[in-house]
Amino acid sequence: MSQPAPTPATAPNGGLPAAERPESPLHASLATFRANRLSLGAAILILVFALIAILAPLIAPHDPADGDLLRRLQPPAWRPDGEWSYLLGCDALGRDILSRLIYGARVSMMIGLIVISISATIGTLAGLAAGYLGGITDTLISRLVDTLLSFPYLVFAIGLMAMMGPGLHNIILALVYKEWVFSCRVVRGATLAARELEYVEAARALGCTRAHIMLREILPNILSPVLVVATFRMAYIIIMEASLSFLGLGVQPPTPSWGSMVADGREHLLEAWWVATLPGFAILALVLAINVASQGLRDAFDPRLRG
Amino acid sequence: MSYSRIAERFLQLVPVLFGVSVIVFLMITLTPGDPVEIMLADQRATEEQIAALRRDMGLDKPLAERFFHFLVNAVQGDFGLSFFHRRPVIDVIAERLPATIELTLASMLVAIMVAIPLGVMAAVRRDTWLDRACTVGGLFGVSMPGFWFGILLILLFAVELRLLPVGGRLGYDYEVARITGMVLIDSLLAGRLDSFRNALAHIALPALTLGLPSAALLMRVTRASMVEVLAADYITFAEAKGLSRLRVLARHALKNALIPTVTVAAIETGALLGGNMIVETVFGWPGLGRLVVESIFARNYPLVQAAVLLYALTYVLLNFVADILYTTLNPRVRL
Amino acid sequence: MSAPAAASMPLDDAVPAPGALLSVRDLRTVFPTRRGIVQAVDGVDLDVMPGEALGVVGESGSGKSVTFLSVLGLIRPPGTVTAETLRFEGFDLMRLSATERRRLRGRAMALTMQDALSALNPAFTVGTQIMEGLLTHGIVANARAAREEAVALMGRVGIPSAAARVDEYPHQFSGGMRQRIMIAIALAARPRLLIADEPTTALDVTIRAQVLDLIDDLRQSEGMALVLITHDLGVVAERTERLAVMYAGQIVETGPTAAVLAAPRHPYTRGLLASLPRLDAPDSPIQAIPGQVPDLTRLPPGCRFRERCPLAVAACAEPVLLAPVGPDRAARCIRTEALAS
Repeated sequence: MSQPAPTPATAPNGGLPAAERPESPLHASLATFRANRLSLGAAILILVFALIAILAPLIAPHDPADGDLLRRLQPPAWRPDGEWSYLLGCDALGRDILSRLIYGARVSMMIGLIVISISATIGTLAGLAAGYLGGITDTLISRLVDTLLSFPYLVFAIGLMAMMGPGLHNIILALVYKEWVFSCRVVRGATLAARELEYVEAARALGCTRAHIMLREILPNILSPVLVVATFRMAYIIIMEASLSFLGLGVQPPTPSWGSMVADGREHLLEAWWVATLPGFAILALVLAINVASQGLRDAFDPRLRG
Repeated sequence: MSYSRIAERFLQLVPVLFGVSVIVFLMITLTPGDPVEIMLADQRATEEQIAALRRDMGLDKPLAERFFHFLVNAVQGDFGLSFFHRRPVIDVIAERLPATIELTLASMLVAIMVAIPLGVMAAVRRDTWLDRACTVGGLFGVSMPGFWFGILLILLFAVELRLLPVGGRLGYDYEVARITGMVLIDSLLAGRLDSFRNALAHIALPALTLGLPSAALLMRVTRASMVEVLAADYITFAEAKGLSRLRVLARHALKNALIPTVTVAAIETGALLGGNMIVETVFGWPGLGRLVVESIFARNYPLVQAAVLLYALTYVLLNFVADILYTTLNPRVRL
Repeated sequence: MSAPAAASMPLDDAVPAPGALLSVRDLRTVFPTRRGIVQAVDGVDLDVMPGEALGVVGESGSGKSVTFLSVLGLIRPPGTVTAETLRFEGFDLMRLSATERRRLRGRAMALTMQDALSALNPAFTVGTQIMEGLLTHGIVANARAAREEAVALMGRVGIPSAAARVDEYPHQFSGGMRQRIMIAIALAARPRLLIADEPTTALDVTIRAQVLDLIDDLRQSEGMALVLITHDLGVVAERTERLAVMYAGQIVETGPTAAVLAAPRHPYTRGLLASLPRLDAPDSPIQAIPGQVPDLTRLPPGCRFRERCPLAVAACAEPVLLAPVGPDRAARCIRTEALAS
């Protein structure tokens, strides 16, 4: 990790009162997560990316859309002809790459978060309904899930984007159409297992409504797998968005996206390698951080692995 | 596994295949805007031309009827005309398909050749530096955007080291008679080692780009199942028989540990079809994936629709194959 | 290899008993884990005479299986095995190369495991699995002879229509038949020592006797020595001549089976006996031993049973040695007198 040494105080959820309810499983999970230095570092890196995305207008040194043709393909600062005010150099239109990377973080983080929030919500509700209600509801949902799983993800997204046309809204829609399936499957499985548990039986015996049992009794108990799946799916979504943007089917200019920046730079590989390669490092760093953190979460929430 | 059992599994695919065709049909039909107007937007078409195309695509008929026609035509391999190429869609696809199959197979070969030895060694030498290196490599592999990885490879091997060519499947100086459409195989069939070598140099980078991320996934699967198998009683028992370590690993452990790997590899081959679009674009590989991407920008919707359907069908079939492989390789569930 | 006095009290001053098939002195097997170093076997001394049947009893985790996996050389890294003496048929096992030890495994000393379903490889036919050992050790000349021998072995362990079933997979056999196949594999090379690890635990009561009879028959006809690892004192009483009781990685009592069971000299042995339902007095209460086996990563000095022992006194916190308590008997207890009265 190239980030400063992790300190528990800045960890997500680090503000939880430490001494309170020391026996709670959530607390134990978070403690395990925090004890894993690598995951903690990754979580901090994600936080840094989030801050960059939020504060983009404040920290970007230049306007990401403002080109200066005199600076066309200007090299990064450490190369001959580089300038420190344009740290990572400029692209073919003379736009500052660093500023575009900073604004690009917005697109990646935002699409990742929005898609995963909507998909996890839809998927969780559909999974609960399929798992708990069973019968025709389960059949219908499961068939739809099977059908959607029959498309390679990228093919499905590219097909939809081809028809709907590029743009932010359409990317989100195209990804959500398939993405909800993954949380749905996990939730359905967990719900089927939870259905037979005593507390659910008890709630049923007490005459609670089905909606109450699903949302109040089962849902809170299956949230941790949903969370774990959501984090590592988010890594995948970010790559998907970058891939679509790379193909020109994603976010449209002048909005900078990491994927389209790589595509722009591809035209100038021979003269200016930095234009195409630098955005890739940003994608790699963010996706890697999410994957590592997600692995940490998985370990933390899997009681079998806890010593 | 008996044939009737396979047939039964195959029949279970029917509803899924039906659902897939519904979705592919709806993809083009329910998109906002009039597809005909979008398709002809750049061509300054007259009202009559628009109406003719609409009639041609059956857009004036009710939805259910249109779906029925779509399905009947699709089953016969009729996906309409690619007016960009002025030929039937299916012909254009058939022409490009071998290049994509070739690349996909080569990538899977790369993935398997990297994943299995590394996964096995990581499991056998668990918690050593090798295992950790594999874990880290695997994490990078699944976290790397394929298009970017391809560009890095181009920069290193083509631009910097000048070792490998980029673009196309074969140098201009070579020509091989088209038999299978797969240049590597056609070269061998023609006994042309020179063009085989040249084709190999062309396919190397795209296959690495496409194959290595899959290798990361397969390596994880292999390692995990190998770790599980190595802890099994039958491994201890095989060693208690006095078999050599190599024999225990290569026969007793591997035959069981590779069952999940082979299954996942079959499924992953289907997933590679999506990655093809990206890699073929990066490397100028004249396959179906690049054709689809070009067609999107040419608003050649019938071709895109047909290709998406084809990809999905292949994916479903590969999943089916994975299922069959799993049961066939695993005597415990063999029926 | 110098061991702390706490655990090591060689039975016969570290000299292998003359004529012993297997001699073990101060065997130690440790596994490093995240929680610390697990002392799975901690200073075990024992001898097995040719043709003898030795019972080894103890709860799970007492180290009885690990002891013999160590003897066989089947402990995998990061686990490590050390011993002052580990002799088998005159071979110093600790000095043999990995290949030389492998040649003894399956040939001179064989193993059967508790659960044949998991010990047999699901991916190979039983015939293949029997033949493999025969071919590896060069007992038969070729695959064809190996196949004939495999069928013969299956017949010998009592599998009906062996010739027809030799190409079936393990999951196609019943539990008792699988156990027989595993025994056939172990006995394929006519070993001098069979280590039978819980051979009957996974079986029904009726099949249990058949399998034990089979082992007994083969033992008598081949003159093979047997180590019967079990937690079933009934089986031990019936089938073995000598007995070693293990607790927390150590032998706590050893001696002739009948004598030990009639008058245990260690409170743990007595506890084990008391926890058995008694056929002669069905109404007498079954007394489970209270408490738990100590954490093998944090073993206390002194007697490891003292936390659970009704007779424990302050002196039990001092290291306790395995000391003679009668003809051919030894116990690791300073309260033997109190127990006898």
